[in-house]
Amino acid sequence: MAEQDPHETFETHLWVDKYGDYLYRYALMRVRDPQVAEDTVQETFLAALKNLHQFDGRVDVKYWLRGILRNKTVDYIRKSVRRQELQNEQVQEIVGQILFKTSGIPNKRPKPWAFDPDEAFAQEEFWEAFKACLEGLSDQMRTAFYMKMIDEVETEEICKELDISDNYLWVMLHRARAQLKDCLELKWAKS
Amino acid sequence: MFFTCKQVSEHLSKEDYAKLPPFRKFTLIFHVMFCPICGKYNRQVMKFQDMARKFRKQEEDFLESDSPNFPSMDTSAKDRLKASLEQAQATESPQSGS
Repeated sequence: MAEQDPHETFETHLWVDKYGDYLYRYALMRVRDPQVAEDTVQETFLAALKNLHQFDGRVDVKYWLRGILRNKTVDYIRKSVRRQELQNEQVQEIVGQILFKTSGIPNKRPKPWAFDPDEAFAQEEFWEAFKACLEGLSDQMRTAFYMKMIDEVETEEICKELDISDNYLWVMLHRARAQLKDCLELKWAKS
Repeated sequence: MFFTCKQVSEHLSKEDYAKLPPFRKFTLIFHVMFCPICGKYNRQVMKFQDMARKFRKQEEDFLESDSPNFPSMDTSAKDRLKASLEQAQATESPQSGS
């Protein structure tokens, strides 16, 4: 029996029209630069064509492509961020200084929200503010936040992919939440 | 045996407490229940988890939207992309599907 061409099976000639914008927006949310977003989408399609035989059909092609794209955007961020110069001990020291006394007791109580989050979640405009605040985080911090909170990637994998230590991830996530909270309070609570 | 606030904060921030052995998990929950500062911090982390869950849905709608108000690739970029895919496809051997 004649073997079917996988390109035909997966309609690769339709990929750009079917998934182009979806993937472009996904990349843009993570890398922020339209040109880089376009490049990573192109790299994604090319990598997918090359590895088409590995696609087992367990998920929709769109999500398979999105998975490849996620790795491409993380690669880009990792390469663009200056290699982490802080050593573990320094990170520990920073954690200690910012958050805790030597006894391990926090320096201060977390401040309450300046607005009612549950009420805000129900409003469309809140998510625009949230998106803008996410964009305001540094590339590495935003990537860590996306991977942990939105894409639900395991801690070990995030550390491996971003080439950072466990403690550094803790500091980044802590700072990302604090910055997001401050930003949302500025953009939302005061509007 | 027992957690300090610093250790609790680390587990809450990295959200890896589900993987702790049962007794460790119990002592962490116990700490969070009775320490007002960690309790408050935990509620904030949980609010962020809730926010992230809801944002995931918002993001999916944004990615799928046909609205011209959302960013999309322009036609010339799509054409370039199609051309590069066609070229790559032409050089791909048919055996890749086996």
